[in-house]
Amino acid sequence: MNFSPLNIILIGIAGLLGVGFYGLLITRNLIKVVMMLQILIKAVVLALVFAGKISGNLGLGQSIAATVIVADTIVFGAGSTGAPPFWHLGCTANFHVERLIWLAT
Amino acid sequence: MESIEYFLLLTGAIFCAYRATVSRRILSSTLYLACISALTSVVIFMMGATQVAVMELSVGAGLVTVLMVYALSVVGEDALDPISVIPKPLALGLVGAVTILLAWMVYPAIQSAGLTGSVDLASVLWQQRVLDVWIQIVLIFSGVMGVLGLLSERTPGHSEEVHQ
Repeated sequence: MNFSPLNIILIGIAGLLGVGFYGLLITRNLIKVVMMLQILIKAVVLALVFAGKISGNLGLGQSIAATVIVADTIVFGAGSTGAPPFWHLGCTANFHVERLIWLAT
Repeated sequence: MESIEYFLLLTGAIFCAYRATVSRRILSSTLYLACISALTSVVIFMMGATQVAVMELSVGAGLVTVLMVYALSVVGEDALDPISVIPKPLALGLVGAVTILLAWMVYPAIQSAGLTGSVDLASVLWQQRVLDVWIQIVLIFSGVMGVLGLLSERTPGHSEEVHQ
């Protein structure tokens, strides 16, 4: 495996996705979960531009990446202005895992 | 030389992502998130996608950070953070396996590709993907209206004013 720019970008995208998923698994704070989703979004935007680049259609990759950025920003903006009263409650991201463990026992 | 630049930028982004994950203070995590955005936008710019790089830098490192600091100023740093029911070694193993499998699946597909491509965003965005533009317009309009509705304070109605 040679370390060409393409391979390094691929490893970087995989690394960002891995750290984002790891953060989603180990944290239950709702603010931190939103941050981990932001990390995943950045990896996805990078992957979209990268896919457009290697397929020879960078414009298409940029177009889809721009749509993802706009949708992410709108959702995050509405969430950060409307959700703070509920952020003290913590996250129920792995509530279903807890429930499965409770059902199994 | 280009490989070294990509390596340094992406290593920095992954390091910042890890620090944002394990950092105890949420404000520090927010600043690490802004660093990730900045480094990612530089990588995107180097790949030739200049417009998206500017959007990512202004939105990811600017607007999102400001919104997060605003939310933190409302909530405070003492939000509940209970211990996860998933053990960290198990999470690390799962994520590592998934990441390696993903990279292993994608790796053969990029070997035949080059780093050259057309940069004609305008024709793609305004002709081929014009529906995306309309969706973005609707999203921005509804988002702004939603935020204004959430931030607006309730004012006494006309009937209450009459009774007073």
